Amino acid sequence: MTWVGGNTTEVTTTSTTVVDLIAVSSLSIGASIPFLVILVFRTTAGAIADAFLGFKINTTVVMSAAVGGISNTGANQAESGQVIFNGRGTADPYLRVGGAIYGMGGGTTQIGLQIGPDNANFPTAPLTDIVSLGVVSNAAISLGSDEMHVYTQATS
Amino acid sequence: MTWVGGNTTEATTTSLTAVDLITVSALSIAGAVPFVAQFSYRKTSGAAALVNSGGKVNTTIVIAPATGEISTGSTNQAESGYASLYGEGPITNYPRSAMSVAGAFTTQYATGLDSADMSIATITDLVSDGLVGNASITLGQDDLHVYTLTTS
Repeated sequence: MTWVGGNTTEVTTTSTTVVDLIAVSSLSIGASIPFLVILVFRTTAGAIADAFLGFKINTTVVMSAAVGGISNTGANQAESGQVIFNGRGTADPYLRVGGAIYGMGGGTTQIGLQIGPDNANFPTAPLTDIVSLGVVSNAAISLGSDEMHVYTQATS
Repeated sequence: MTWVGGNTTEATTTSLTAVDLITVSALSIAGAVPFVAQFSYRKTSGAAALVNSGGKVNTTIVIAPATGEISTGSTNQAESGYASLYGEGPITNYPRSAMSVAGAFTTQYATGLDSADMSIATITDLVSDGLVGNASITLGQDDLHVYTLTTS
């Protein structure tokens, strides 16, 4: 497994419409190359409210930041968690070859789920940019994301 | 990915309350360093009951051994599964920067840290714990290995 890019500058938002969060650019993930993305995310206390995180590859939203996706528990408490997004460079006719798993907790509650690419096919390889997206349902809470790293895996 | 520690001695329990099972000590996982910890788990037949596993970072239980997390099913049969804990060493404002993914027979769960923050600077010990739902069955865990990933 080879580290191919990272971003350790936190990005936060209180936007109630989906915005870009942390991104790793200047990648070159070719067709059929397996990749792994890790990042952390958090929400602040302030309201009983949801926050959602999604992913964009290059300029295409492949995983929506929306209900049913990567989220906090909705409780009015500080929470943080980990996201793993793995897949491989697009190779026709395998156009949605990736998925995310995540877990987030705060207090004595937690949420975790597996998420598929619900919004669009992955763009044609090479994959150059992987961007996390976020939105909150109430501007009284903040969603943050940090420590995003991208790895590729050998195929021989 | 670099192997940084492991323990291949199986530990078992019939305890109805959480007990420590396998430990990997002498680690040095600093803040924001990505890590993966993986172990196998199993239960014996003997009663219609499940077993739950959890995890401790240093001396703090961060994933409680609770139903619906690192759990088996409750059918009276032998089952086995595999759990992976993915995380990054404790980060300011992100004290729960880890999660587990576990699957055994027909159960599969992704779980966040439900019990406590990783309020430490460096992870030195990773401990799996667990309990059984009925003392007529046994929970076993084995082959706990820990890896770190580079960030440059």
